[in-house]
Amino acid sequence: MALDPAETRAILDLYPSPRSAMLPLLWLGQNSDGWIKPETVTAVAQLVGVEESEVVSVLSFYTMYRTQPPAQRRLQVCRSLACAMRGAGEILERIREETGVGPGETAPDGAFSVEVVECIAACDHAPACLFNERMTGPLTPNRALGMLRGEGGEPE
Amino acid sequence: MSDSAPAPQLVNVTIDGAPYAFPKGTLLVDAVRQVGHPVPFYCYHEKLKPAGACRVCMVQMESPRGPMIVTSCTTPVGEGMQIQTMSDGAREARRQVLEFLLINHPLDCPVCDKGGECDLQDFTLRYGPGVSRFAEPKIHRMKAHELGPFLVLDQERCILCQRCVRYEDEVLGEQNLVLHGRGDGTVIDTTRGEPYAGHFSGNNTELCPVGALTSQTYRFKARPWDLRPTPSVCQGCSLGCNITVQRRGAEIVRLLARENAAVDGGWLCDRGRYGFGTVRADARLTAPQVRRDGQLVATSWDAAIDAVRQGLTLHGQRGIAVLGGARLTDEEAYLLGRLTRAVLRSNDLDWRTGAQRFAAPEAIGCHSAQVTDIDAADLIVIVDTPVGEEVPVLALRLRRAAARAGIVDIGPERNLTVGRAERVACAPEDLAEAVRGLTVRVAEAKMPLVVWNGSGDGELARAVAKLGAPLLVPGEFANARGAEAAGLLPDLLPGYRSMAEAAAVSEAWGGGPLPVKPGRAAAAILEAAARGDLGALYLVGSNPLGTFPDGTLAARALDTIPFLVVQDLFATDAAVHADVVLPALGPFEKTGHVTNLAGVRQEVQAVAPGPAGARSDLDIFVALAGALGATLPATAAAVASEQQALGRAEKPAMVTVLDRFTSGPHEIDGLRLLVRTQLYAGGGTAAFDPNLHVVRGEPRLRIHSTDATALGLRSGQFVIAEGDGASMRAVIELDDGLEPGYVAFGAHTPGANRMGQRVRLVLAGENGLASTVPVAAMGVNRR
Ligand code: SF4
Ligand code: SF4
Ligand code: FES
Ligand code: FES
Repeated sequence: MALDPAETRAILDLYPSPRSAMLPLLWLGQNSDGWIKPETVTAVAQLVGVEESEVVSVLSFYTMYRTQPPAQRRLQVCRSLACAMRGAGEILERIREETGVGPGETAPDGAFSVEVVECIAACDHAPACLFNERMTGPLTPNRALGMLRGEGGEPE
Repeated sequence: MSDSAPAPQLVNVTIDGAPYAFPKGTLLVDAVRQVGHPVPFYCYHEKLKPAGACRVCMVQMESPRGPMIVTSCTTPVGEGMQIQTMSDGAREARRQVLEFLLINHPLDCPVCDKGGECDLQDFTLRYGPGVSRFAEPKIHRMKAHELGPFLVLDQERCILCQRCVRYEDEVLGEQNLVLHGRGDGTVIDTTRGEPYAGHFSGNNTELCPVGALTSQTYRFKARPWDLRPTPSVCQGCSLGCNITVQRRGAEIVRLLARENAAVDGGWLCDRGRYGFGTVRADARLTAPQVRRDGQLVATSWDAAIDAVRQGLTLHGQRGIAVLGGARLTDEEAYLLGRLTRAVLRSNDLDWRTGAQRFAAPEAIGCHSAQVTDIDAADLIVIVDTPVGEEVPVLALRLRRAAARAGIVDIGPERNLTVGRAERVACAPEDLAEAVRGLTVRVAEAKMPLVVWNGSGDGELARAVAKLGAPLLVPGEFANARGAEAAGLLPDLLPGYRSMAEAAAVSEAWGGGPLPVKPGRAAAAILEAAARGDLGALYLVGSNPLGTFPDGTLAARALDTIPFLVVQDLFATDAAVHADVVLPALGPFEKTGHVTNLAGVRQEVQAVAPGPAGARSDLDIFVALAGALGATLPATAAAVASEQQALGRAEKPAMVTVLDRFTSGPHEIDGLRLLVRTQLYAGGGTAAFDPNLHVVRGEPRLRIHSTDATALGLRSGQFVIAEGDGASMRAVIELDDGLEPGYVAFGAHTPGANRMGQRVRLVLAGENGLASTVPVAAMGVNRR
């Protein structure tokens, strides 16, 4: 179920060399399963004709691919220049102090996860973030904690 | 050749103001090094494709747009190029890269095994800044991580040059190590964090320019300036890869590759690189033993040699036979032949205590190929030989050839496990037919080559010879070719002389008639012993119980023989039957020569003393001859000059390969049982080497996944194979390289050759004992 055959075909047809379809096929897998399962890696390696290790290597290069099942609420805080200068670091620090969950970690009950990402092209909203893949900002420590605890404040 | 190779086109380049000319295509990094203006480099390596990953090799090049900084490892020389290696710009660029490489480096040189021979230390000292401006906390990663049986990985020391990743991919065709992540989060690891599984991991420790990949066996052992190097040759198999043995004081601490382009191409396999633990193994025999009142008791050498003399005198009337010699040096093998024929007066002599039937291609009427012929061949036929398990480094050359040449891989399992090959699946008894089927293709090939380990019957030998292609024989014993040339065969004298030349040989050996009637081969010797028709058997570095294809016959022979002498490094299961046990020296403990599978004679050096009570085989032969009233040359050098003076026969005779040899196909529950060479399965020395304990593990029974499913077997499950003659416990390993319809044990696995004709598989219970449920055999067809 991970890779829809028709969509897979359509993606492969877009590129003269099958290897070029590696990233979009991984997206396809992530979009349908919520994360990239080991069997998706195996399937993509076969489809584009490379070793699995190469897919794993590529996959780990991009921060937006998930290789673990996602938490219910996912906060991705930008740490690039504009956001860093407007307090992204302090927000992450507060989250860790209050919840014990640091960047790159997931709450033990799987309810939420915190990640840092590079510039999400929302510098005018710095410090900016993605909450469940939707951009919002400027973020404050209290708003971040509220979103993570499911107490509201999510982007529209 | 000479007319076809055009003179290389030269390109003019100015380096640091002086003019030079280099062949077109030369990389700048090589050019500047050749003329003595070294630049630092990490990712570049002669044996790997350029990667341009580390950026430390930068030089300055003049261009129409002004001076440019380029990486010298990715830039080939160009006509009129002007290069500055030490301009301010080039030096500053390298300085900055080196500063960058160190910002997250742990600076733990004092406890790093690479310290003293580390390119990061050396280049930073020579080209880098003295101090770091980086005051921020460092990123921490995995340290002292045991990556499989032999490697230790320190991700913090890694400079991400990717030599290891590229070696895995380009040289091995495997992907055991890959890059994960990006930026300052990039690390080296296995694909999914699993243990490193390949057989050539150790080469990474020589390729890694820093202390990120190091060897378990060398951990915290020495500093390079304390080490004394001795050039020698690996005796792990019949390839004879060249090595440098490094000792600290008297202790061997590591082996390094010493490139010999005609043999090893600069690589070692892990069995060779780490298989030096025998020199300090607890299991080594340390004193001669004689049997008194049914018990083996330690004794002096004089008493032991006298016990052999007495035993041979007492039982010699009914015949004396000698088996073994394929693990000795050339000199020792030759002396063993002389001892047997001239002193013991017997021709019952055979090195072939395993499945291999001959060693030199000429011995069955073929031409010898050189190892490097693999690089030029356009058609390579692999006849039922698991090259990677038998002679691992040779398999690397075949893998590389597979990208270019046609490879035909014949037999009941895939022999070339990496690389493209055309499979001709066939049963062992159909091999000769399959080989004959290739006659036309081989005849049409420009440079055909056959690779066969020489295990098979006379029909197969004739079929291979008939192909008329050069042959390589990667056999199971390290110095089989030396033993064969020394005449350790029932019907061949030294130098491939037939028995008709006995008079000439006798003259070289100081007169005295030699027995002229050809003796018996190994199988006939063992049959005679089992029948009670033989008085004494002398096993020299051989254990037919483990290696002879019909282990049941070997067991009966050793049970029945009235007088048995075992000369070995370890208390093998044959030694248990012995009347006299003579402790011998082994690899790394003797000086002499060995002859590799392509006939290259190479020198081995004694670098370890061995156990105090053990003696070299050569010394033992001399002492034994002395006790029997004969004098043999007493040094390796004296033996070598006698052997060389005797030389080769003008018309070398051939080796007899019997038509029926093994005791026929074995069966397990309707599946055919194969006994195949398997790396680390044991046998001679590997079974006793503490360095290799980690990889040997349980005996494995390999089976195709479809057969396993049909039998309800899972990978990792324990089974007991119950034969008429023996039973053994093994762990199931799924291997689809094996054709369906077969199961395979590793050769030299104790018991594998003693199963008898009918074998049953029984699931082993939790406690490893047999449960009463036999494995169902339904639905599996015999091929
Ligand atoms: S482990 Fe060694 S060889 Fe591999 S990338 Fe790191 S520094 Fe280079
Ligand atoms: S291939 Fe053979 S000779 Fe070479 S290192 Fe391995 S065991 Fe030693
Ligand atoms: S720097 Fe944070 S969105 Fe651009
Ligand atoms: S050696 Fe040239 S970039 Fe690494």
